[in-house]
Amino acid sequence: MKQREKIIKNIGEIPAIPVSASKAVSLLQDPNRSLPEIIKVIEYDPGITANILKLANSSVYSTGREISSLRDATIRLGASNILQLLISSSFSSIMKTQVKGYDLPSGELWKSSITTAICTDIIKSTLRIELPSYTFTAALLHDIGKIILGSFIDVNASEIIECAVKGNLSFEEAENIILGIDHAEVGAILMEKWNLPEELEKPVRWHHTPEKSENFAMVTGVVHIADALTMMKGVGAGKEGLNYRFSNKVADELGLNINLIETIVFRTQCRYEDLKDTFSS
Amino acid sequence: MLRIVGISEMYISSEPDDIIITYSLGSCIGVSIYDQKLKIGGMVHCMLPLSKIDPNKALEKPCMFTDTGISCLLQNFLNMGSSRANLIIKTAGAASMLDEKNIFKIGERNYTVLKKIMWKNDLQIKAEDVKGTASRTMLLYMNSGKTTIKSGGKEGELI
Repeated sequence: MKQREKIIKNIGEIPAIPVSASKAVSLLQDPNRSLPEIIKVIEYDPGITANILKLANSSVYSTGREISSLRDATIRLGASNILQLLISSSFSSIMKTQVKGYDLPSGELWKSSITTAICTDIIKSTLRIELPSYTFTAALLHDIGKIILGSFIDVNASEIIECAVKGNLSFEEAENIILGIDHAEVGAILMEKWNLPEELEKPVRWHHTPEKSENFAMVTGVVHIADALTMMKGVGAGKEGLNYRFSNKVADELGLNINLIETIVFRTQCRYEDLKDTFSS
Repeated sequence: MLRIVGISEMYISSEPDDIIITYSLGSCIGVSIYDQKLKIGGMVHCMLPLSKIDPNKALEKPCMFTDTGISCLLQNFLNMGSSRANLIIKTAGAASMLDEKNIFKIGERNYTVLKKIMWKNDLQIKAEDVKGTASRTMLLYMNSGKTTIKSGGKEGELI
């Protein structure tokens, strides 16, 4: 069996995600969702309520009055934020594992996923653009394929890096040559297996090569930039370092220049500092 | 003891048993200073070149920015009685992604600001491992004053 087929077969053996997570993802996309429905999903997950209350009373959202009920917290934070938090918490244990093959210590991939997700929010507010509500979740899951390749299949990234350096290729181009598949495609296949919506799958599949995506949507471009800026900071940069290509097309479409880029990096770091305790527990 | 310098942080030591370390410098810049006479060492990990982006934040966290961070580290040495001639200054980081139009040049700008501060203070960088696409971890061994760089699983002295 070829390496590619072996990897795809292995993806089939990855455990399913919690029911509450897939319910939260579908509610996030449903404009007609109601507050009781959301609260019902949250109640599936006993660990999450404390985190939601913590976030509602944190310096980012607090208005001075202490909140102690799930209902009040949901109103203060907004339905999207609550659902995103639930999704984050559902994926946190799998994403906190050590990604040996890519030389990422435990927790590092999670930290980079959270930073990338926060960065998409900052890009949205800094550039004043409209993005779908699932952008945060797509950013959170963009590198999930690395877990499959680096932990479950135990790929050794050194050989891939050597190929990239010799051929002056980006890391995912070299992954394709050595493995016949890259971590972005692996991530997208996994999400399909988890029955997550296609809209969410696309930004994961094309986060390194957004211009190759059919019917290019800006959410894919924004996840691409957010991922790249996070790696530039050194967060989640494994053995492969910064050996990835920026899409000039996306940079042009977003009208990015160095001042905007530095502002986005700065605001992302400040927001991350404010929120990291909520996401790490 | 291992002393970890996070993003936007600084650490100064005079303990021979300390190893000062900063992990995965991407486009950020790491600077190590060792006073060979007083046997004091320090390291900083700066994220963005210029503090004008938010002067209030720079007061609270000067090491977030290269201009205020390097100056802050330097000032600490001078306050402790270091003379410029005894300072061994080394730097690493300032990497970038593959970016044909060079729009995302945070690394390059961090490096330029560092060079300007060195020039203004009549100081020289003794050794550097900068630019390219590597992610680098920088270490300063206080028992010897040696600075090393770990990258791609290998560690080598920065000389």
